[in-house]
Amino acid sequence: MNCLIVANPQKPVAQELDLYLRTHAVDTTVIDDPVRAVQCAQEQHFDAIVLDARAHGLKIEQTIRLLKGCDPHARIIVRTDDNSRHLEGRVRKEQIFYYHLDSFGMQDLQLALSTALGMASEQESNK
Amino acid sequence: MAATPKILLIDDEDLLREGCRRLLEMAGYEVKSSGNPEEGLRWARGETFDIALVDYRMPGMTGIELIEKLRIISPAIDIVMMTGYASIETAVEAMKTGAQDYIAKPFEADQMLETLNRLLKKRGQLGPQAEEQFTFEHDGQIVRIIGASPVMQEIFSLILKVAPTESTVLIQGESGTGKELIAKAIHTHSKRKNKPFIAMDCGSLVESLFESELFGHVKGSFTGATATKHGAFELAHGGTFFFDEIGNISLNVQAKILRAIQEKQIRRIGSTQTIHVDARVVAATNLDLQTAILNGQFREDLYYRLSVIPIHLPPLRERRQDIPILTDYFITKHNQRRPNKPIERIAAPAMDIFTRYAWPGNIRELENIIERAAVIEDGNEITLSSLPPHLQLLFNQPEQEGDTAIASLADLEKKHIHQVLQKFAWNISHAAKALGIDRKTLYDKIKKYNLTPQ
Repeated sequence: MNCLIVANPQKPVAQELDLYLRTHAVDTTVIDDPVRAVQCAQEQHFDAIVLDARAHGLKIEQTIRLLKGCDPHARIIVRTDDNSRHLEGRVRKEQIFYYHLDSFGMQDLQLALSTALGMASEQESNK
Repeated sequence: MAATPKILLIDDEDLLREGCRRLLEMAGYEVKSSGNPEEGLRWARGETFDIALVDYRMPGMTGIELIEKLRIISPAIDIVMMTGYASIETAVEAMKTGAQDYIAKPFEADQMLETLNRLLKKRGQLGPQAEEQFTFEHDGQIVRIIGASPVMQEIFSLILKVAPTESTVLIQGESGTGKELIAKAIHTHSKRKNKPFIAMDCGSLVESLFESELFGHVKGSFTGATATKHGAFELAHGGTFFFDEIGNISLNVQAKILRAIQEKQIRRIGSTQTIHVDARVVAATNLDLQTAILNGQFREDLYYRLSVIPIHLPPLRERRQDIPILTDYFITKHNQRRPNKPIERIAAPAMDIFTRYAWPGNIRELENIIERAAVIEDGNEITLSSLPPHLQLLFNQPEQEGDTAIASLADLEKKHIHQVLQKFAWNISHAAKALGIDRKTLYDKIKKYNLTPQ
């Protein structure tokens, strides 16, 4: 299993997520820049992708579309520490897997992520 | 009735030109194509075209020279430059010379059709509506539902009738029949088309997360907009909300959805405040909800609330006449993605199998099999050898004749699923993979046909 995290690696949420995934034997790639993340997703398949809704470099909906262009079935989780109705609306139009607010705590995010990875694992075993 | 838009296509690359011509004709355009720019100019002198698609580099004349000449002969024509030598300089030069648009090779089929649609809109013309497909624009992308069979034609008419109403719609059909496309078509043809279309897969999340995703969440001591999750349903206000696989929702959440539809009100988790939401609901399922009601798994009142307008999408095996045009469509789609290795045709024995196979995974399975065959095929033809083994097995089997077509097809599906299960020693994951369906669908079919290991 592997996971792509698009977030500032210095931020606690990225570090905590990285640690959680590694302790669950998930290969993790943390990238700050959405453009580089898309380039990475072109070269490699990811079972789940966690995006910072406010990452600099590309609009979040563009990032989601480009990632879905690389893999239409990509399970994308979008997280933010500063939500607004407008932002959430823009993101939800892109049909993501889960939308997470950091203020809800890591457990929510970990549950969504483990569900996404569990589905990917089941799909893999069907191959 | 609007006239069919006429396209002049000039490109010296035979394969690409032929692929483009087929794509455009399938989309309903009238196309004249040539690899020779002089011939194209002769045609332009003799008849009127709406749009010219011209290659940048051709022997004897560059695309820029061709554009200049076309402009003089036919001032009203719109011109799109196509080139494999994409650069800003070329684009600027083409536009200065009189091209309206520019498209870099290789391009996706949809890119080409979007460009043409945009130009036709500017000209005040309507895009073509080929009889065998229902085409519309959703969220800036061209979406096509293919089907010349009477049952699909009826569904296309039904979409146009029900879309402008406010009624809830329940789309029922097996996995892979295109239920979400029908939901998008209804939204796009409704008065809500400029408002959001929000879709949610009801089977993908555990209940606690699903409810929070659907209705929003205000958690703990956090207050204020930045710590409030609005939820997908609220964000569909004014637009359309699509519940995909609604049969997978728990009874607890079903009660809340019923309230949201009946009273147009929701309450976020952790909040006492009710919020008014005006969203049209379209739902889809691959389950038999009436059986689910009898089994106590689905609320009867919600079922009747959802199925004000039921649309039944037939499985592919019940509309076999669409298989050749769907095959053609997916081959063209594949060729646009991989122009260096195009498939030109499908061998007759392979097509024979396509029209006889039960397609338990429906259109999605057909697309996957064509994609797989096109990738492993060395030549330019899809042959028997590039099909999966379970399809090849059908080659030597005589066509089954039953008392009625429906009974014999169901029998064929039952036998085939049983054969595949036996072959994989009842390993559900492997059998489901070979059949091109998900494990849940396979379990449903095992139950439906009462199959047991022997």
